[in-house]
Amino acid sequence: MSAVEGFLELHDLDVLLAQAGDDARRGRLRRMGYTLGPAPALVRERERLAGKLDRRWLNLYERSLGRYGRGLSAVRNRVCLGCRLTLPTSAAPPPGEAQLHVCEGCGRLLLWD
Amino acid sequence: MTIAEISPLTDTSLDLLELRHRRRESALHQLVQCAVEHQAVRHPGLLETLLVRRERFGSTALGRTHAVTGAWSWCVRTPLVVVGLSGKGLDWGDDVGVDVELVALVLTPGESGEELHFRRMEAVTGAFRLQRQRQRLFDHRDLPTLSLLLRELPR
Repeated sequence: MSAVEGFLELHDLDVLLAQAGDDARRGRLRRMGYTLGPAPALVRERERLAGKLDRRWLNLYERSLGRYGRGLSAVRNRVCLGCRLTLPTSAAPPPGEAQLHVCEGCGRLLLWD
Repeated sequence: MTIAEISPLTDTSLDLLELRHRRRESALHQLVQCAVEHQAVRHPGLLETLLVRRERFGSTALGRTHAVTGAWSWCVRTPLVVVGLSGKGLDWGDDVGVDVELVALVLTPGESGEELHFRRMEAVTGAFRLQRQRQRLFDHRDLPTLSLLLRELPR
């Protein structure tokens, strides 16, 4: 698994954890008819996954996660979909390569489309 | 004055398929593959992992015969709802007696707000809550019926 995919998986897990830990979201899911399990299993899974990722990128990710609630953002047509900043052409990874980058505007890790 | 007949536009954000397998993971795989064909998914493998993880957090089976699962993720490119019908029934998790016949997969791209995803999920769970609505889809098994049932779905 590439570093980009690792952070993408971590981000999806963080979204699930946010749903598990927030009373308003849990209540809304219950009203739809879902029964929700305990969050600790998800927390352990997150620890296991985070342990596999590069510490420096993880720090940047968690800083943005704490600030904005989401540590990752996609890029479309060179625009960061998190903060709408147009990124320089030089910031794009070579075609076909998935590399980690940080948005100069918001500091989120970027997922190039 | 010329009068031209205009055929209704096909709604590309919905799809309906027949589920071939009996296992939950296989059904989820088939639904994700359908989303891949729609070019609605970036990383299908990760999306499948997310959906399986979501099941471990709590089953998405609502009642005895249908399940509505979904993802609000950067793995999703465009909004899409895929509904799978199973004639034989699916073994949905470890609850004895749960034989799911209808599965809906609600995909919302990460750039949309979480609120939109919740509203989409609410629209789909609401549309399939009543047995007669689900039966209508089983009787017709076509996209116009699905579109009609999901007419409240926020795009």
